[in-house]
Amino acid sequence: MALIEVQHLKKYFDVPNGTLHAVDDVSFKIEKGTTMGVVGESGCGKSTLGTTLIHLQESTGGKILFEGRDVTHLDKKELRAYREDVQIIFQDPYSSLNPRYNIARTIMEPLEISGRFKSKAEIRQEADRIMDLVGIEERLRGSYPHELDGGRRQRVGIGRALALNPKFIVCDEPVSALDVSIQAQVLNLLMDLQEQKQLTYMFVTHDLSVVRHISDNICVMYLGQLVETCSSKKLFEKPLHPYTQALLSAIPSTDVDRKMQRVQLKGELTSPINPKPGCRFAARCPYATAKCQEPQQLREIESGHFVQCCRIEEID
Amino acid sequence: MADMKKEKRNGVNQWQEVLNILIHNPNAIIGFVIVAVLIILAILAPWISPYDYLEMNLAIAKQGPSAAHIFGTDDLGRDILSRILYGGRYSMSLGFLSVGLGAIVAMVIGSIAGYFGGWVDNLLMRMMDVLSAIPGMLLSIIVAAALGTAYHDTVIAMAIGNVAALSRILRAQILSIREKEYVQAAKASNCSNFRIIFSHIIPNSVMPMIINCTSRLAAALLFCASLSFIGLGVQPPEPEWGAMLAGARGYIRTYPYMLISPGVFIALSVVGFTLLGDSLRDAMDPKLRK
Amino acid sequence: MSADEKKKAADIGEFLDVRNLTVQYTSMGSVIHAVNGISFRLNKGETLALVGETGAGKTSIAKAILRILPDVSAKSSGEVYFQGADMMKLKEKEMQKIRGHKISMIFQDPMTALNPTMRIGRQISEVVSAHRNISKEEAEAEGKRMLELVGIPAERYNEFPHQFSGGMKQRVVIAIALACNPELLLADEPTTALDVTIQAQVLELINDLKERLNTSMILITHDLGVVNETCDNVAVVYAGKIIESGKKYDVFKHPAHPYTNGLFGALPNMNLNSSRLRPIEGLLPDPTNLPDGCAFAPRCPHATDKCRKGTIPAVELEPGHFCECIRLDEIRKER
Repeated sequence: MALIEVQHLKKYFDVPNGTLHAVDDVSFKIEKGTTMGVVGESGCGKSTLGTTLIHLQESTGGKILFEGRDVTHLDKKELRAYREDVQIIFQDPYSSLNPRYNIARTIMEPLEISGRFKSKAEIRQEADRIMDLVGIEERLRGSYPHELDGGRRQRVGIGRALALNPKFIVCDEPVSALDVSIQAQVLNLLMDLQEQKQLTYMFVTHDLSVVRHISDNICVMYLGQLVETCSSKKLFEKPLHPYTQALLSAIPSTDVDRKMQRVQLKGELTSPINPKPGCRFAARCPYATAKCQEPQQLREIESGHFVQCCRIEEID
Repeated sequence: MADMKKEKRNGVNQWQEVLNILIHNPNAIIGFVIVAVLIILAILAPWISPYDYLEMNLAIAKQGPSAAHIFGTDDLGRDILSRILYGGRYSMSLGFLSVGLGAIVAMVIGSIAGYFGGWVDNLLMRMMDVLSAIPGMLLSIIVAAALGTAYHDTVIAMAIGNVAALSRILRAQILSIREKEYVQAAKASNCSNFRIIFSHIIPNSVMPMIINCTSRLAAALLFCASLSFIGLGVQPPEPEWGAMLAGARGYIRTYPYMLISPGVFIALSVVGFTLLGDSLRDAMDPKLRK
Repeated sequence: MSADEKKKAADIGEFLDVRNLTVQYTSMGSVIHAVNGISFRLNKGETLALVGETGAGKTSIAKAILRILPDVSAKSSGEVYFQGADMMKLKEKEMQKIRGHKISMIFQDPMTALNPTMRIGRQISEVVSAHRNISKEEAEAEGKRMLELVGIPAERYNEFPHQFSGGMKQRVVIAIALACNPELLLADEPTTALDVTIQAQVLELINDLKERLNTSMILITHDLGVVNETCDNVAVVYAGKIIESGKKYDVFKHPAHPYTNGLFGALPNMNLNSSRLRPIEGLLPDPTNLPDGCAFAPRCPHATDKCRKGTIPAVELEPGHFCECIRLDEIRKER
């Protein structure tokens, strides 16, 4: 049984011009102890997917299953319990910490609220243990966020997410705002923690090279639709969906010897507001036909490899 | 640039940083000194006034500055210096209290509107719109005329003019802070609404309101003077700088010294608060720190 | 010209020759050493990449060349020879003739680089009118031509910036920069704020225009992939110094400096198969308090005491490939 299962999940927003389909009919499973990478460009809905899964926003349709239980709609008490199982790490280390709290307090707060500890001393002890785990030096524990660099702030964010002992963590672009040399440190930390604590991650990012390192499986999203999902290895070896192919070929390579074959996409992203039925990538797809305007299905093309494209068999 | 932090000083929170910046700003120091001196004079008035501020002595009325009466005497023979000192108590306290009361009410209204949104927000903000549709001076006159001229009535009359604008400022800040990731993180950590509002949102929203309040203090002093000038606010024989100006109206050409002292003190206090407010705003502006 | 001057003139690079450029900012009593004695040359038609992380000083270099550093807080020194003349010595009026005309700059954030209240067509024709003595109609025609050149239909000449997406805004910014056919283009992280597929389009556009108009370019970036796709030469910047420079092929194939190696190792490269990345330990140095000797020594796994004193000289590893490190031989033996 998968730890997290998402079935036909939808999240729509009401905007002045109509309805914004941020997440539209997304289905996948995440096994315990693995990392599911969710990739896509701006407006694909990956961040919304993350915040909806942990109930920071309420879904508009579909089902969310956690450890086999239906957690799509939760009352207050269930929500409290759910939040101790699922947590989130945010992208921006500058706005994800309360500037008025020093970092010890940031980590102690969820511990206090959980009610698991009896005295302030115990809480502080646990907080120290967590800060050891994520690599924050003792001398910095009384510091305020603005006194620390991005990498350290992100470690605090990770520590805070670990405080309630969650099973599942949504990592929303946790290293995108960091310098390359610091990115590597934080990514290694996340992977070490996953091993130590048997954590399950949903790793949201736009950076394909990062996601390859950390994910076991990947979901590719485009304008709210899930276009392809399979193991990380398969995705990079043999991407099937035209968008995935274009995405992978668009990444500037650091290999001096290879000349990249680039799939150039024409045009810009279409609007996710009041979208027409059918594949949203069709407007830019080099293989689009009239069939693509009809509502699409996610199909299992090979074992464990799902693609939402009606022309997959014909394209090659 | 943002990643280069001096790691020697730690545990310095933002208020302390602001203080650090202010200390190095000459404008801030001048403003602070002026305001501090005026406040000290006001507090010590009962002990340092040379004469009883109500004591009339028509024999020595309308006399210019002399050794006995440093600022001279007014038309009823009262010592102007003593009246300035006591007047300061009224002017300064009315200024602080009216802005303070306005700020507190604004905080309640602004945070409820900002955090809960929806129809509550709509209702409260439309009420504030109605309030701001009435010109400030007129509003205070109406309230003062309705309530009376007792001290606490004057405070309320002056406070009302501040509520609408301050609540809007606070609400705007709350709307922006509400979406910040650390508030989302607090929700994800099972923080109660109460805790989120009071520990996370409000402490991070008050700065713009505080800065606005410092400039309102300067305006409040002028306002208080204006109220007294037209006969509302502080009533005779109690001294207040504006009232003293009003009383000296008739003597502009004959005994100008009666105008100069209260006028100078009003101007000085406005300058002091403005300097302090300006440098406070500059110190709190994160963009200027780079 | 005296014999000395003639000799000096002969050594000056024909196109762009930057010598010993230093930039300091003063802020609240402390001095930030952003650029610390940088020298490099650029030949006509070539592209140089300035690679480094946040705060390395790359943007300051570009702004110093164009002399658009903030007057009050920034101080620069050194020589910047452009086509033989030292721009640091030119008067402001003469610099204005160069900016936008001979040397143009593209800034990082397309969202804020355009005036939101001015129609984009006018923002392009404005630059043209400023440098050429032509009529309004001719300037407008030029503006429309530039739009077509960057792939935007000329009918959109009278639209406002908010009507364009991020990628299209950046194209407009490029059009403005290239409107007067500059000889040198300074591009500061031109694609960092864009989505990867849009980035690919914009990079292709830049490469295409560069070839057609024979524009030389200095590209500032932290993305080694972008460097590979667009540049001929690379200079790696760390703490305000160029610690390694050379032809792209040489630097990418045989990176010498431990920092450059660290950068490559820290990259989650698509082709690498290791499960853990090799991060560079430690943090970027504090520019108000730079250490003596090699600025990278505190983080370098190969540093010795000799590295922490004095100035580190540049070593020429192969023709044109320089590296500022005194331990290169030992490091090579260690590997």
